[in-house]
Amino acid sequence: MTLHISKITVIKDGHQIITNATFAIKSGQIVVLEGQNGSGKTTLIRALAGDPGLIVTGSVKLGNIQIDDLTPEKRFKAGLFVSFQNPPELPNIKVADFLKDIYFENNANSSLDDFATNLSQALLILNLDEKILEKTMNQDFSGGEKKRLEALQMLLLRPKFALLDEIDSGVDQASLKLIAKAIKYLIEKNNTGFLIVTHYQKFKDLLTVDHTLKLEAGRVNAPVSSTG
Amino acid sequence: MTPMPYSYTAKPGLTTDVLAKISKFKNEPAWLVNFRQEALKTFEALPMPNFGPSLKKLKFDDLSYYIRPVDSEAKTWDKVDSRMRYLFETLGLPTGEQDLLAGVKTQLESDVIYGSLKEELVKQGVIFCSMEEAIQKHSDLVKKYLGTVIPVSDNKFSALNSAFLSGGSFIYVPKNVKVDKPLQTYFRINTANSGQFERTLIIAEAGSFVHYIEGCSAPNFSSANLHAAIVEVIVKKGATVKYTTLQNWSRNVYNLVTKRAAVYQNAKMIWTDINLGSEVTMKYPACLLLEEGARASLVSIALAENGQAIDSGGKMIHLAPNTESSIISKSVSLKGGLNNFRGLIKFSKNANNSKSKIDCRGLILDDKSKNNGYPAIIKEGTDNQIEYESTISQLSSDQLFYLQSRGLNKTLATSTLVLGQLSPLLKDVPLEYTIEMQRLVEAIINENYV
Repeated sequence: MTLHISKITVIKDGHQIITNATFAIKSGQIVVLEGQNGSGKTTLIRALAGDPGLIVTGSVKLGNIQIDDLTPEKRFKAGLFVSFQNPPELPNIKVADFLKDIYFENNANSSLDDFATNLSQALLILNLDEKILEKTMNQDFSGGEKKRLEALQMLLLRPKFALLDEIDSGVDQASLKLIAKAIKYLIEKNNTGFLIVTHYQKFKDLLTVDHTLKLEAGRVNAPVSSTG
Repeated sequence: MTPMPYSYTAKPGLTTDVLAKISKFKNEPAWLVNFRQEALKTFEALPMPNFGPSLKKLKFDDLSYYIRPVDSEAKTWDKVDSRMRYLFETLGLPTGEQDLLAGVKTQLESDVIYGSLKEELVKQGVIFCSMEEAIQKHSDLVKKYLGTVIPVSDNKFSALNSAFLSGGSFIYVPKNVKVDKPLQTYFRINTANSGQFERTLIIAEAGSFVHYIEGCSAPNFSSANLHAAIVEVIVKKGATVKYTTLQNWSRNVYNLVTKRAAVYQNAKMIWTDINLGSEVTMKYPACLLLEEGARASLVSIALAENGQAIDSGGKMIHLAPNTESSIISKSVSLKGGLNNFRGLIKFSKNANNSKSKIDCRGLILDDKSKNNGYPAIIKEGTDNQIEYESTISQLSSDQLFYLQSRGLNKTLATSTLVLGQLSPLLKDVPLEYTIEMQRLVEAIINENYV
């Protein structure tokens, strides 16, 4: 399966941020997206996920499904997961309740046992203590915890493709390794394809990168075959 | 469904004649007959409120004032008329009352039709019955306290209620008795054009504790229904009373309610007032902090959608030193709904070293909806502390996008965030009511919401 991004142009607050972005990610691949701060990496990721605050033209196809005119939740249900650079705090919403809500929203026929099994496995992979389940979503979290909670949701929901927006920023070395482990786990078990926005060579070194894309002046340069 | 078995419906209109009929029907003592007749005169003399939503649609002459179900109070559930039982069961009246609740009273129209109270409470001297029964069996107590917290002439609707009072609950908790499970009532208006004038009176003697919960709903009829209730609470020295309301009247009910508690030395009053239904609500639960050390709090939650005007809030009147109060309000306006928050904090000259806070948060879900705040703070003395915070906000688009990006549709994402904002205010609401409220909020947000 392939995620095809074709001629995507994004306008944010009246400014054209992305021009004619065209690239593809295959299942099981890791594609890295690099670019200077402010080059529009986050805008591109959010546009692909369906941020209603952006004006987007062009085509996004997940396998045979045209997803560019779908709402964010329908893109998600088609198999596209996005992790946020700055996951928002959700006041008074407990992590456990939130995880249960999103799990059953997307796995309606699952049992509570399935949920518990998947959750404890995901916690184990990310070396997260169960205590995190009692906390409020993204509130009083360390940078590493926030990003590991994003990875936890990704493990729980097993998307076909995942767009990870700086899942390595503000994260300590130990968390970095755990997140890389989660990515590898999903490639192995679920053949998930990844688009990873990162600044850090260290993080790339932990992964097997298939391509690196460069975002410059709003344009995505042709993929460069590389291993880092 | 066939019509309910009503035995008597008064002719429309409000006359001394109708009043006399009510008194005769109920075999009422002379003092109450007199109380009603005087109240009717007061009602006629008083003007309509000069603030809040329009009440022009209310036509007093078209309303009938008293309806009596054939079943008067049944003591066990299976003796309740099967059609009424069906109605209550389909309404989702909280079940499990045997285990969970000390007593349940449901009110269909004007009379309480079902009541039960655990034996042990009866032994301890706790009284929980309909106002009708109290008037017959505990006339001295009713006479002693009725109208002492809310005078007949307090406002036009308190006078109206005092004239036509019918149904409502009476609770008496003796000294030092703690009623550890909540007492509950479910009110319902079931006939078009009917006025409902519950009168609830709670007396908590020194050192006692009681939690009273009322839920209200009504099916939809084409003409406006009036619900003008009065709740009076007397909280004596060192006692605590919690009063929780989940109001879900149908969208044509005018819900004009006066609620007030008299709070004595070191006593505590806790109001939780949740308003989800009605066309118009005007309700401001109040506390009179009468003696040193009295404390009071009010949590007010309101949801107003298309066609609804919810004018709610509360009043705290500090009349003694070292008293403390708070009003916490959270209102949600959506689909063109209107919320008005009215809060009043008053410190009299005698209220030295007293403090209060108002925290008023409005949430607007779309640009058709409105949310206004009208706080008032009156300080007659010095040495008082007041904190006031107020915000009106919208849901964050980033939070919504985050939830949607995890597969929740916009409606679900919205109700998840709204319920998240309401949940910290629900600590005095029992679980089954919290769940009912969540279901209602989800349904209101859901209906045609985009």
